[in-house]
Amino acid sequence: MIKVDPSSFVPIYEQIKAGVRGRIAGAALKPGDGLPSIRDLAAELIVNPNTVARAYRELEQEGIITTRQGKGCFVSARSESIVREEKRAALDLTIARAVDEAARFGYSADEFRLAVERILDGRGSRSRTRGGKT
Amino acid sequence: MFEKIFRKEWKDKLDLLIFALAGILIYVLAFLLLPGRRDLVDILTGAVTVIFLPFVGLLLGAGGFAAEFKDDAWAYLFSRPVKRSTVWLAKYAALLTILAAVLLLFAVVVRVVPGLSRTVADLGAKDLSGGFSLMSLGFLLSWALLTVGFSLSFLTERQYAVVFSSLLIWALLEFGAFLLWLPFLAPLAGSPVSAAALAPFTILLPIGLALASLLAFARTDFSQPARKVRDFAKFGLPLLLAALVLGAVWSAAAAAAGGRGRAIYDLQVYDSSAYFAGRGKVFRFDAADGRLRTIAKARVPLGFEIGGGKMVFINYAFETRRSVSADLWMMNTDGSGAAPLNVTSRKDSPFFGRHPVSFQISPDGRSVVFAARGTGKRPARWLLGSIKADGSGLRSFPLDVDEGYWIRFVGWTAGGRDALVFAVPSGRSAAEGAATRLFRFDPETGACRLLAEDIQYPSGDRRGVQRSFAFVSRCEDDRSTVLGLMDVESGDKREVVRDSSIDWYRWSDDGSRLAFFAGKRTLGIYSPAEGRVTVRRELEDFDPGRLGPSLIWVRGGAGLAIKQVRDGAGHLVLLDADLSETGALPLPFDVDEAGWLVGIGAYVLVLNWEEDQLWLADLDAGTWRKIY
Amino acid sequence: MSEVLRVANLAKSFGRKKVFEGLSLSLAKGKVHGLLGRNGEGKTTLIRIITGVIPADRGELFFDGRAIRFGDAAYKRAIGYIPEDPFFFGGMRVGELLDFNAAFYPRWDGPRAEDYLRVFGLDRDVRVRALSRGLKLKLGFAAALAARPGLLVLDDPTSGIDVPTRQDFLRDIIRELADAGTTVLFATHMVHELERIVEHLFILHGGRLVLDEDYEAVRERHDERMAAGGEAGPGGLEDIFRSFVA
Repeated sequence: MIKVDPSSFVPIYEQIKAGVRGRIAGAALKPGDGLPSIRDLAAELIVNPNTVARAYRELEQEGIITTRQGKGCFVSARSESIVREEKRAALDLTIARAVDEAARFGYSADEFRLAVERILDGRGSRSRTRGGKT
Repeated sequence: MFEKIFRKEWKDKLDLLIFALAGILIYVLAFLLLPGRRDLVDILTGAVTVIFLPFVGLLLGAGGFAAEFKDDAWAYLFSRPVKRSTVWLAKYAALLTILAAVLLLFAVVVRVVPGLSRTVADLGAKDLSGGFSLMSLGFLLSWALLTVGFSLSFLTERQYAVVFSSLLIWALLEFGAFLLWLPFLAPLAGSPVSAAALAPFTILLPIGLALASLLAFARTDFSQPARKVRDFAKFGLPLLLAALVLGAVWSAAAAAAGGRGRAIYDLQVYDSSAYFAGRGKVFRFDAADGRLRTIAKARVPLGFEIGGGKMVFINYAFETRRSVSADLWMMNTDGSGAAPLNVTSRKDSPFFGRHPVSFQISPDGRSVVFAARGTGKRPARWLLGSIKADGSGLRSFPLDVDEGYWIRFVGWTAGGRDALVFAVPSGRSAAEGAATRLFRFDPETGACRLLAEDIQYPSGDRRGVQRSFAFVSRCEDDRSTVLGLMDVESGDKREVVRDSSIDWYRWSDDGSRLAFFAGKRTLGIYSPAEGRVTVRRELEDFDPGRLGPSLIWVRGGAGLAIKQVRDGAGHLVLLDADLSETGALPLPFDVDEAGWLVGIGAYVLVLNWEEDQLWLADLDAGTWRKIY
Repeated sequence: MSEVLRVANLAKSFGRKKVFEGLSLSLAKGKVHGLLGRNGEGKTTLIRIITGVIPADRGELFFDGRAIRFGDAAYKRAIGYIPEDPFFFGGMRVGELLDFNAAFYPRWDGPRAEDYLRVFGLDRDVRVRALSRGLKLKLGFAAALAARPGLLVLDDPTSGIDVPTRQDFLRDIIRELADAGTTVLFATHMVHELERIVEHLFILHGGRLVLDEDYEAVRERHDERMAAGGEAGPGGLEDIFRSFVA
């Protein structure tokens, strides 16, 4: 469910966009799925329909959704790849930051890798037990 | 839109409508349940017409914007796409139609309930209101107060304030108009201003207020009471001024045109001609050729007397705007030689400034006797006087009679030497036990001798020389009424007839016979020479309509005519000397409108006092003709 | 962007008390305009002038480019008005009130009015004064919107109304906006609901318009300032409002 917080620093239309993206990323919305109409989403979120319209417009410009005349808005075929791309870019960015931080503390690359494994173990990640190489 | 607001207003005011209808219902019930108490019903009628109905109008008007004030509903209404003027007009129209419904219902009820219309018309008080019936006065007031109330109702939500200020403003305006124009209107009208002169103001002033209200309402800020009053005053003052001016013009025009009135004053027969005054003129109808002539023009010919080939009348003159003088004028019966006698207009006259109230000409036409009383703050002592026909020899004598009496001359003694003077006590004095008095007055010496007391005022009888004076008096012992004759010289009295009532009596033209109608059923003729009733007839089921002067001699004494209601319509029933019926002529109008009857030669003149008309009946041809 | 309504140099005083002077603003078509201001600062007065209920002392009013004189009734056909605490005519029944209004608006949509009644659960035969506050609000809404107005003016209609009803009301307005693209002028001193739908913001304070700007721009500026000043408040319209009227 998309939620918006009007008092947040983030503009409402950005929150809506992020919400749609998040749902696509979490596979709650798949390519071809229909999005709620502007009217319904605006009523549900209790926001100005123009705001929803703007969010949809920008999502369409970014290629995440497509509008079919008279039928409404749908998740585009490319959306997954775009979103995944974005996710990967976000992950790379996060890791790059962590590496920089570790370097500042004087850790080497190997110490960094060990630390990552330790933390992942602690989280009970099943990726190692599933036949991963050490 | 108009319709919606119109209908909404009707619904809002339904309770007032019911209140009004209930009031009318109560009135009708009171009328039906109190058949004997005419006096109470009269009061109630006056109250309903002139107080209740106008009050209903006032309440309707004052509550005009009450619904809008409640909870600021006006803001909602004014945000609708409707013109302010439409709102005002729709409301006013609705209130008017509601009032119209009430008034219409009242009018219908008055017509339909048996006897009610007569009661209402009875209180017409025509002379008081100058030709307005009570009902039309009440209706006019109702509309006026509704309009004034509605004009003010948008100013505040406090309805009691609207009601009071409406009454106050309306009363102030009306009285202001009256006081303002009284000195100007009276001379034009030639008579003291009547309420009819106020009618133009009563119509125009509320219209002025209504226009001001409409204009202010359309432009003002409804949320600001002070500003509403200011805007209302801004339009109201000039409009009221315009209304006052227009009202004055209208009133003055009406006064000048009809101020003299059509009303017929006095109708007398002299020497086979009938004389009457009306519309600023004196008319004479001659039985010889059956023609009507104008013989004089007088400003306000109220009352005249004929005798000795001459006529004396009172003429009003306006010296200044506020002072009116009344003087006696004398002229020949053909209208020539009119000249003032200068009784009251000469400064050195003891009658200066007084009004001659009653007067009569001596049988030889050489002198006039009169009674005059001071008006205003002077002590209201009576003065009797005499003057010669050429204006010389003015004499005055005080009359020793209480202030509460009214004086009338009723004839002459044999030889035309002494005048017969009748004194009638006013209502209050009569209530205190004062009695009527008959005097004989010597105009040479001023001597006054009491002839009789406690007899009825002889209305409608002849005024000439009376050897025997016919009088009616009431006998308290057995509650009977007596018609008697008194010898003026000796004072001897004899009884002609005694009955439960003496309704009418009339001397024949030559004074040889006295016809009477007594006990509402006995018609008779008495001969003083023979000293007995020579012919008598009982009339069964006689309905004279409303009693009024209704018994006259016709054809020079050859027969009688009497007014009677037959088959629901008024008739003039003709009888011969034996009191057998020779014919019946239906009256050309409602029997209740019939006033004086006068017979000359083969004609009968009948006055319609309601319409101020004089009708002539040709007894030979059996036809009617309106001559005035 | 076309202009639905414009007021120019409006001045109004009640006796000696001056409410505002030289006030000018314009409403853009299809946008939601919020009018904020403390109680008694002139919001209702301005709205009453715009809806032609009372006259301004000075100034002009333009609707769809046409100059409007006080007393002009025709332009009001395109305006829907929901006043604060709308009592209308208490004695009327719901059905009567709608029929009453229907006579004034040529574009009145009877079936739509009936729909509203049904959806809101309003009984045609109940007298207006017997309705609860919330139902009166809904009735006001139905009556205003069944007239298919181009401009919807609300004068703090939700004060004293519980939150769920307010949210319902807001949803109804939103649906109307989505369907018809109505221009809205929403005056209130309670900012919570306004925050979610406002596009252009007016703030009335001290007899002047101290703010007349698109909400987004104001928001950005305000947020930047807050971030720069290191404040971590809840932000939002409430804050913005306070910053202007403090």
